[in-house]
Amino acid sequence: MLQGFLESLVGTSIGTTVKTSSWIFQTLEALHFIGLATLIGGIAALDLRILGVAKRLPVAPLHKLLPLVFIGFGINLVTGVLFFLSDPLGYGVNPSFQLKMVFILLAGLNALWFELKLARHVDEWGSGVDASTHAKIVCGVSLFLWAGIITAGRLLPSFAALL
Amino acid sequence: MMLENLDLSQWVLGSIWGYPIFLTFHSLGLGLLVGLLLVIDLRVLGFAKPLPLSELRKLMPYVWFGFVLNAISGVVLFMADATKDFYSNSFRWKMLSILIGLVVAVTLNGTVLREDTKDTPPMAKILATVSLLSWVGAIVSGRLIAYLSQPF
Repeated sequence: MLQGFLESLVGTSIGTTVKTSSWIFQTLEALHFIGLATLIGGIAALDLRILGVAKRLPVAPLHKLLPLVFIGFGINLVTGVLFFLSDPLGYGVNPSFQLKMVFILLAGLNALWFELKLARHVDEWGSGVDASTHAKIVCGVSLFLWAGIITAGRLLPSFAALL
Repeated sequence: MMLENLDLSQWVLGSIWGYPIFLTFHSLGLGLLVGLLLVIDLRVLGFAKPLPLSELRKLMPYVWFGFVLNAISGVVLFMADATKDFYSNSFRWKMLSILIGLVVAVTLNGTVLREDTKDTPPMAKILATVSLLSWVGAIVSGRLIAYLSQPF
């Protein structure tokens, strides 16, 4: 069933363009890294502070950096979809790609959990105030998942070579 | 070049996992290094003013950790491909960008980040812009090296 779905995505004109033009592919890759850095910057600053780093930083302004995270994620979503369309079958059956997608989904759910349950407290965690243990766990999970996403992404070609 | 003939270099280039493992560390380091510097540079440029500069300075050890991770993984990656990299223009651009980025980061760390002014002086804003451009330049030129020397 997955095979059929993937096969139906092969051969789109945009996918073929990305696949065949090396300068387009390189540009998209560079953008993917820049998007990664932007996303990680916003997330890591918040996660690290909640975990206890640089505690005199008030949490609320760091939480307001979320637009950065969305910008980075947006860049990577677009470039990611373009990569995928250039080789749906190749990516689709690659275990590293599948893991990456699962981790992204989990990171999204984790972030949603933070927004629904913990974001209401960010104003309480001012300069010098320790965040709750609950928040620390969620932010630790966040860092772990994003490190996993970067790793799984980086190992994609290795798994492709094995298939 | 002698460096490429070391057993370590041969393993990194020859095994399926060697190069990717070090590339992974390189990506993780870059996320930390450039990501956190981005936040700091944006603050110096005037965004998110409630964040005290002297507190953001406490994130610098994580920036340096990312840098060291990349320096080490970068050396190993270089060793495996030394001749090609050494003569590659992209590689040289990358090293130049890193040098500029490093000097600017150390300068910002020693000056603006020690103060707690809400508004930073124009010179600081120029430095922060140079910082952002140099690290983006390092990422882009780094990608171009990879294009010229795909390991598989």
